[in-house]
Amino acid sequence: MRYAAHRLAQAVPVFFATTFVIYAMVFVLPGDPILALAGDKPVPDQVLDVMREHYHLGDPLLVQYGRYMLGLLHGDLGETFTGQPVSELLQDRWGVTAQLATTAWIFELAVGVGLGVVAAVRRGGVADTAVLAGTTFVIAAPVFVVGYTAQIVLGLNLGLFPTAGTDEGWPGSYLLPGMVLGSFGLAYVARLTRTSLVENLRSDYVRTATAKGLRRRRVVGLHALRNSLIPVVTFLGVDFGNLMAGAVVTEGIFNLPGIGQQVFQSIQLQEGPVVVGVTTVLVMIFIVANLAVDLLYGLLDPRIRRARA
Amino acid sequence: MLARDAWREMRGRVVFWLSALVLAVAVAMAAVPGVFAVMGPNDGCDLRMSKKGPASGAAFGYDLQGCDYWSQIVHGTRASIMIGIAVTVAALAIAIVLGLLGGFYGGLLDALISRVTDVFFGIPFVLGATVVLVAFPDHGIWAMTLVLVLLGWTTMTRLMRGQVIAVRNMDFVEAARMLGASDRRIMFRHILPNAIAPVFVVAMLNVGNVIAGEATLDYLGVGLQYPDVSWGLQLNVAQSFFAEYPHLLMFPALFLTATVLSFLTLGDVVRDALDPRLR
Repeated sequence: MRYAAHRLAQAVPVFFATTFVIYAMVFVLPGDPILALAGDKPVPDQVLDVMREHYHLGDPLLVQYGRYMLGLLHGDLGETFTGQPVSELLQDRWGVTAQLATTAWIFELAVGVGLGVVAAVRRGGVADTAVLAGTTFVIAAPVFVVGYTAQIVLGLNLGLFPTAGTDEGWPGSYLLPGMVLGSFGLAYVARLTRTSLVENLRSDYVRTATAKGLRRRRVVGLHALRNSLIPVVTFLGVDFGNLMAGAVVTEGIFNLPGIGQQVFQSIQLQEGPVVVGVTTVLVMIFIVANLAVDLLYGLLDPRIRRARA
Repeated sequence: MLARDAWREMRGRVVFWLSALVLAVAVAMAAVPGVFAVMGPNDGCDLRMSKKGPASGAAFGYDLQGCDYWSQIVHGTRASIMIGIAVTVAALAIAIVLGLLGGFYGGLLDALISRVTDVFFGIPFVLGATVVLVAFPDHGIWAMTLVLVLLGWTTMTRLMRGQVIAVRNMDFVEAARMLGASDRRIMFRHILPNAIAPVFVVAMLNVGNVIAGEATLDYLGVGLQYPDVSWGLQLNVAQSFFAEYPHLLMFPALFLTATVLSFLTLGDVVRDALDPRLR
C-alpha cells in the first residue's frame, strides 16, 4: 500500500510536467492560430484583439495552462478556434481509436504469447527460427509498409478483409487495421515471451516439477509460463498507450475516422486546443497504464513488492 | 577480454556478416552516392517518363517526376544513415552523462533527472515530433535530428542509470575510491566501462528505430521536404499511386527495411555475444 502511494505521488507531478511541456510546445512555438484560421486573407486588428481576448492568448503561459487544467477537472477540454467544444469534436472519434487499439492489443496478447511459447518450447527448431526471423522482419519494416502490403495482398487481391472505412463495424472493419497496428508489438511480445520462458525452463523449480513426474504441458503452462509473463505484462501495459498514440498512421492508411486522423489535421491547421486536448488524454492513459503495470508487477512477483516497500 | 570473446562469438555467425555487408553498402551509398547513382539528386528528370516501371536503362523505373528511381533511392540513403547515426550518438552522449550523474550521486539530483526523463518518456513520439516540425516549416536534416534527439534520449538514459546503480557499489569501485580517485575518474574510468555494454546494444538497435521513425515523419509529410531526397519522402509520394505502380512503393520500402533490419540484427548479434545466458 505504501508502495502504491509512493508511485502515485511520483506520477502526479509527471502528469502535470508532461502536459505542460506539450502545452508549451503547442502554444509557444511560432505561428499565430488566429491568422492561420483566416488563411491568406488579412485579418482586421479589432477581430484579432477580440479573438485573442476570447481565447486568453495574451495571458502568461502558466496562467493559460492553469486555466486549462481547471477546465479539465470539469471534463472541459477547451474549444477550437472555430468555437466548437473539443470534447464534442472528439466524441465519436475516441470510440474508433479505442476499438482499433483494443483489437491490436488482443492480437498482440493472443498471437504474440502463443508464438513466443511455441518458439521457446522448440528452441533451435524450425518453428523457433521462423518466429525469430519473422519477428525481426516485422520490427524492421515501417508500419506503413506493412500496412500497404497487407491492404494490397490481404484486402485487395485476396479479398479477405475490407480495405478501408468502418462500414462493417467491429470486428470486421477493425481486424486488418488492428493486425497492422499490433504487428510491431506482437513481434516484441513474442520475443520477450520466448527469451523469458527459455530462461525459466532452465531453472531449478522447473527441473523439480519435471522430476516430480508432472506432464510437460503442465510444467510449461503452469509453472514456467506464469513466471515468464512478468516482462510481457509490463510491455503490454505500456503498449496500450503507444497503440492509441501510434494509430495516426494506421488510421490514415485504412481511412478510419479516429482521433489520430483528427489530431494530425489539427496540428497542420494549428488548432492548438484539439492537439493539447487529445495529447493530454493520451498522456493520462499512458501514465495510468504505467502505474497499473507497476502495481500489477508487485502482485505477480512478491519479491519486487518486498524489495521496494 | 569480453570484447575478444564477443568478437570470436560473432565471427562465426552468418547473420552478422550479412547485416554488416548491407550496412557497409548503405554507408558507402550515403558517403559517395555519385559512385552508385547514374544521375544527381532530382537530376535529368523527364516528366514524360513519370511513374514508368523498370525498363532497360532504368532498372528501378522512374518516379513521379520522371527521375531515374535507382539514382533517387541511392541519394535518399544519406538522410536516413546520417539522421540515424547522429541522433543515436547525441542521445547516447546524453544518456551517459545523465545516467552517470543520476546513478552515481543518487539523492535529489537522481530524483530530478528521473522525473525529467519520465516527462519526456510520456510524450507520444509521432504527435510530439509533428507539433514541433509543423511550427518550424523550413527544417532541414539537422532540425530533424534535434527533434528526434529531444524525443529519443529517455530509454537509454533509464538503462544507463540502472546499470550505474548496479555497478557503483562493487568492490573495485570501493577500491578505487580508497586509493583516492576523484568522482570523475571513478565514473568514467571504473564505472562507465563496466556499465556501458547493454546501453551500447540498445544504441545499435536505436539507430534502426530512429531511421524508421524519421521515415514515418517524412511519410506523414511533416519531415523532410522536396528538394531533399529521402526514402520516407519517396514512400510519401508512392502512397497515392502504389496500387497501379507498385515499384514506387516496393523499392524504397525494400531499402529502408533492409537497412533497419541490418541495424537491429547487428544489435541482436552483439547482445547475444555479450550475454551468453540469452543463447
